[in-house]
Amino acid sequence: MVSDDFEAFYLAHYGRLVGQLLAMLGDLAEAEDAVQEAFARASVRWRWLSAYDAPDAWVRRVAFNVARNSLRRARTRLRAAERLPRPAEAPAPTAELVDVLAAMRPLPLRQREALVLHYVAGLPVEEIARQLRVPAGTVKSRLARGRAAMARRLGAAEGEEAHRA
Amino acid sequence: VRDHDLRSRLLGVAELGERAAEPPPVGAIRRRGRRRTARLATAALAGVLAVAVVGVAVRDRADRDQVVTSAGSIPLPLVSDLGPIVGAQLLDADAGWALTADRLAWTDDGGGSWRTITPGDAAGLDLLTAFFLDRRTGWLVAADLPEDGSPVGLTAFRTGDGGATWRRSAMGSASVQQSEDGIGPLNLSFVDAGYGWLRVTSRLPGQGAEDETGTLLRTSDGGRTWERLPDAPTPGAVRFVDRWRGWQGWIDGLWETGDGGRTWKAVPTPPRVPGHNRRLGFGGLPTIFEDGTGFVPVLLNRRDAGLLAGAGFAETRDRGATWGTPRLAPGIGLDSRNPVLAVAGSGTLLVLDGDQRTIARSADGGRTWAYRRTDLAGRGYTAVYGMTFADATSGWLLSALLSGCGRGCDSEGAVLGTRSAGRAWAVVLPGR
Repeated sequence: MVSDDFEAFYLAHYGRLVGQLLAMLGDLAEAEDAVQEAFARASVRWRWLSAYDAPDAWVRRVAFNVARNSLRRARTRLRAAERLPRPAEAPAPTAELVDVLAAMRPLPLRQREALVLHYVAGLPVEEIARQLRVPAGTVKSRLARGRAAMARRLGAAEGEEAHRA
Repeated sequence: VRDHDLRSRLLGVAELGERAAEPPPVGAIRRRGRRRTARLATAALAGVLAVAVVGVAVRDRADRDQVVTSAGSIPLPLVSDLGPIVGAQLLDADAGWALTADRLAWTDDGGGSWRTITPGDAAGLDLLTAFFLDRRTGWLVAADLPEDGSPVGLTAFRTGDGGATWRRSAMGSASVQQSEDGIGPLNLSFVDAGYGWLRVTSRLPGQGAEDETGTLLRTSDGGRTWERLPDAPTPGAVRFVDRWRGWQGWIDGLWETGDGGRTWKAVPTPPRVPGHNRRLGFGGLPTIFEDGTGFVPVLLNRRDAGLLAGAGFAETRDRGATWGTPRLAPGIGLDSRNPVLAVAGSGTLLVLDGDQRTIARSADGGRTWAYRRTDLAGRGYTAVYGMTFADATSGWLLSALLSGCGRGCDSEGAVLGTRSAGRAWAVVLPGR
């Protein structure tokens, strides 16, 4: 049962944000942790956050920042980004989705962010620039490089599939 | 792999995550939030106690009445967070400076030629920001930045002879937030040879961008000593019109202080523009002239997707105490890219449209506008950090990335100059 505004907001947006973070991080547990941290921060600010036109945009920005910071810390410890995306209770991804995750994982984090915000969250370039606090030209550049890298890697994966077939 | 293929594949991954996500009970989320708040409060208190506050007490408030300046019309430096040119300030039609991480360059001929005026003592330090009141009096802030953003001692350099000689002093410590692409934005400004403020974007280790604060340092003796003020309400840039009155801008909001930056309050949004049922926000910091008149940029936002629906200026006649109904430049600001707005020293208003094809100019406070085509279109300057005009015709623009360039694209940028009110622009300092 939904008891208040924040709970309704939380339940309505949690899954979608986890999906976006999964596309960026390639790891469901990390994606959930980043989203939970973002909602935890939102819960203590809800009084004023609820007055925003789009409080989910704030939570998404925080979740991306949390993910980015945790990835930077993890790089020096255990290369978390290289873990396989196989949380125990997650639905098994198709071979095609595994290819997408594998193609995303080596990309620089900033390119992954831009790709997810543009293609998954559906944000225009200007809005991504505001969220990431970089010029729109930088976003375009990251999108272009990310797209090109994904095309190369997915093309190579499809080539291998065809070869195996 | 086509664009829509990539979109559908990434959406497939996201749908997988959405199906697998299991939200924990909301009570657990709330407890996590409360625990974090308590942790941060403890850390912040420890940080405040640990900060070495260097400086003298602020001069007695009694001298408030003696202050009559118009420093709010001195052009603020243009600031970029994407090197190599991190700042530039055009002081008059010919003189100005540009700053890279290791060099402060000066021009006396509008950018035709440059000479280095970097203090010798600054060798090995990261040059962060600078400000000049006039051709002789200026300041530079530098630090040996650690990579992890932990607090670092800042050093101020000051000159009274146009950079021929410099004196240095310690400013105390602050955490300087470094952006992914370079040094985070700082801004330094002075209202006279004594009073100045440095605003630093700071965040505690482990915090995210949403927790960024604006650390404020102030000097009342020309930069010899500095004191740390309470954090500003946002990480945005600050500008003061005199020793006590100033503004801070952030996203589309504006805050004002009447006590030199100790306390701040939000500035009410200007009255709605007739015929425009859009969300109105401030688009920059005010410029205030000697006679108490001034202008502040305003932007009309569409509620959906944050896109713009118009741009213009609101006018004040009482040194920024109240703002009138904004006057828009018709037809400008409708592109998905932000327009760039500037107030020239003469009071001329200028708006460079987001597509960079048109610059609108008003000499009567925005009542009427003249439009000119620029020669910027198609030249690839896709990101403009800001535009400043010393007078009605001479200005600088800090840019930019070249679209479609290959590796190394991020390191390109340039200062462009105009002497034709924005119609023709030439590179006066390349970013490489």
